[in-house]
Amino acid sequence: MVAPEDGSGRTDVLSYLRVDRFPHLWCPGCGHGIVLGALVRAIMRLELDPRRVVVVSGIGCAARAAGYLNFDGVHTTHGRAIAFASGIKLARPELEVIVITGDGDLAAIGGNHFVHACRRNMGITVVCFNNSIYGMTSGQYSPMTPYHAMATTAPYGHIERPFDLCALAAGCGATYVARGAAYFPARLADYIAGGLRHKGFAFIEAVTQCPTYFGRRNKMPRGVDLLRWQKERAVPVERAARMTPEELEGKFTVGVFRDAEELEYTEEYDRIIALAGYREGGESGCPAPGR
Amino acid sequence: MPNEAEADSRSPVTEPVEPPVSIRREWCKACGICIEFCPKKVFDADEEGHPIIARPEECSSCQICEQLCPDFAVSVRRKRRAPKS
Repeated sequence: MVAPEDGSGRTDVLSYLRVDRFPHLWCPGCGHGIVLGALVRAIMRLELDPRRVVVVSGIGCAARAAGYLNFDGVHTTHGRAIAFASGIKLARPELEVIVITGDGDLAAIGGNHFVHACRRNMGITVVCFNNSIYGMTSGQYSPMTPYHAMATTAPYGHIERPFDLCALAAGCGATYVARGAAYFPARLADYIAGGLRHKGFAFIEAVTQCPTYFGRRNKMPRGVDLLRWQKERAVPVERAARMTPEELEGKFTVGVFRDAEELEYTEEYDRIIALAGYREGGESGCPAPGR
Repeated sequence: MPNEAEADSRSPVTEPVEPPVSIRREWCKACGICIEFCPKKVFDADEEGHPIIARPEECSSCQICEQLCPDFAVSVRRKRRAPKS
């Protein structure tokens, strides 16, 4: 599919996707397609100019989403999507830079990039497709595998506690933090749209399902079972505030956890460029920043 | 539209009937999500688990199936507004 000359030709979800590559590679019942659909609906709603959107992904099932989106994009190395995205945003701050990543890609091998990107508050939007497992490599536990859940590498039950990714992001300084779930695609699209509108670093965790490697080992073999699990366990953050820790046991909260305005990194960077006396085509003490 | 004929025979509506929901079978992986979560139970499963539009007249165009389909295989036309008199 050839990108249209301008954004006006894109009227439905499929017009944002490279449908010539469909059916996509994700398993039957996998939630990644639902999350991808929510992302596209958020982009549609904001009427973003497709020529100004860049999608960056790392490695894993989720990362394959970048290849299905009809935007310019970079499919990078494992865990490094945020690092590449930071470079793109620094060079071209006017672009809408979206990172698509999985829970293993983001929170394990890419964990250090993630926490420091949160701290820098650069204006990129990170959408984490959290399916609690390494799906592409056949079901090893990830930093998001729940306590006591089964995984290929935890055949007697997992003994580590998962991260609370949203608490981690907020604690590290991310200025927009939200969590949605595949079962609630309309609200997930709202949260992603909120992140895209946000000026600083936006992190959206999308709880999604891997029936093949998480569900089958945890007595929820179908996508339908895992979506029902999400429906039963999701608690809006406003209601969670009135619940006790015991009542919240085994549940997960959804909603917008943080939406704050703070100094955005590329604006600070521009200020430093000005301070250093860089002039386009002129003499200055610092090398041309390449934009 | 493989189910057009079926829709015609079932629906009582007088204008040319086409179910608001359609399925692209070549993208469908028979996960059963649309069948399970349609609030109006519009779909039944065929012998391979793919959805068939069994009760098109029940469809309220809520688009839950479209948004929950992981394979972009279901699409729902928005309901036509009543013509102004």
